[in-house]
Amino acid sequence: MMESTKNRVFIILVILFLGCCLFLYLARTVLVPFLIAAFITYLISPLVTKIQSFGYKRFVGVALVAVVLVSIFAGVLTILIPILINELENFQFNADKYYEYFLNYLDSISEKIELIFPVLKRYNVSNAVIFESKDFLLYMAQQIPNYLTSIFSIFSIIILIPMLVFFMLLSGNKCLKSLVALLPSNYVETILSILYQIDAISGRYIRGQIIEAFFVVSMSALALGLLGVNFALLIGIIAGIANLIPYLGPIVGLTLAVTVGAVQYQTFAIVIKIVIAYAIIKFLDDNFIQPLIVGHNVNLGPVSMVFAMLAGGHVFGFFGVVFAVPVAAIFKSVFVMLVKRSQT
Amino acid sequence: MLKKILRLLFIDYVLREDIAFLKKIPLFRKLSDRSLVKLALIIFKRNYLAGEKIYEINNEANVLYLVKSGQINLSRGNTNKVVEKEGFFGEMSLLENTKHTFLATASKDSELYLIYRAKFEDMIESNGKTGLIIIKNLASMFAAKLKCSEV
Repeated sequence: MMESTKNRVFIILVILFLGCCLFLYLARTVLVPFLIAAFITYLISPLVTKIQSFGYKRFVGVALVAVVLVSIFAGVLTILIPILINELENFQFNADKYYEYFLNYLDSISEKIELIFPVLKRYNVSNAVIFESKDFLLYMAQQIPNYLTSIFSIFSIIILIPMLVFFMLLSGNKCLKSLVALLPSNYVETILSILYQIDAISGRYIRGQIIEAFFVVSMSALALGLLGVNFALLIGIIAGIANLIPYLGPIVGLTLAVTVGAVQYQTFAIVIKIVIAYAIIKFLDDNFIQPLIVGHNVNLGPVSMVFAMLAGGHVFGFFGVVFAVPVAAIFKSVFVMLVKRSQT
Repeated sequence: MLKKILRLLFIDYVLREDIAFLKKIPLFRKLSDRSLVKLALIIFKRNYLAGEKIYEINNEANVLYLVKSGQINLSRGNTNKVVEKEGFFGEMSLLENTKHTFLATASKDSELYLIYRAKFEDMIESNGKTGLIIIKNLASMFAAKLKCSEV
């Protein structure tokens, strides 16, 4: 292909890319299974490449990895699902009791606080807080089924996501290689640099997040189980998923565990124990897990991170919050790289 | 017969061809087949028509180019160099983040294999022995060039 033709193809590709971005924005509600599939693909594609490096076709690696992972996944689910169902049934059965306990707990706390600060009683502050908490709790409880159905439909989990992962793994970097073959010569090396930055940041971030989430799930479930707190596994899983959101994530798990523990035991001692347990998990995570995950730090300031998460959440919902950080890191890194290159 | 069918089904023959080609490149001399497979997996392939520019002087340089077929002309002022099939150019980009000092043009229809520096660095980071062999090959080639220029 002559250079002028390649230039024309490149311009068309850029326009198509911008069109795709706009289309993806408009179709954002159906993006979730694709994002999850990409997430999983990034996580396991190094295994497939490893098998491919023995000289086998890519599909051999994909088939082997699929068989092994499906077996492991099925084994883990066989053990965990009965425990989880039991916890959910228990939660459903005891939900009214927990609600009552929680309100009584709020009442007792407000009485104690009013004894210390009598002025609060005069303005009826504690009643207002309890009333708002009741409303908030009821609203959250009503919303849970909506969240679950909107995030994961059964169709997505059972059919669509595994199918997408399979095809994404199978195609590997074919798309990338075709793109490089079509680029005009002048842009090849710059675009390879940009693509590598994107690949490196997203790959490391996604693998890092998944390893951390597994760590938080297992450690939270173990710690809460040892402390005898109800729904240890359920809280652990929620804490692990919430951990995907920087800053906010760890607080979600802690708050949930403290609430359940306080309601269950009605003592302050359990709150202290849970806080200590989460502090130990955070310490282990910061000092032993995160240093293992090379490049997990995406080199974004706290203000940019929070802005990216809020903006991502506003446009794409929960998954916007999760993916905002690597996307912002990619934009920053590409921008910095292009500026540096234009200066030299 | 069954063995042949299984081989056809499971063995990646395109990858094997690429390895056979990489073995002929002096830069990758003495590398094990396993290292060559890893190298083959990070290659990008591009075709150029006769007369097409590959890069210009001062363009950013972070790719090593291997000539699979065809012929490439490297020029700067009055200096001209020709890189034939199974030759390579842009090797300085493997060592440092630099800019091209030659204009590279395809003098015949050519197929080039591109190895991007950062991917190459990742590969040799995971296998120090491979990196050492390549650097040794590169050093001996530079030494040979220096000897020629001294004579």
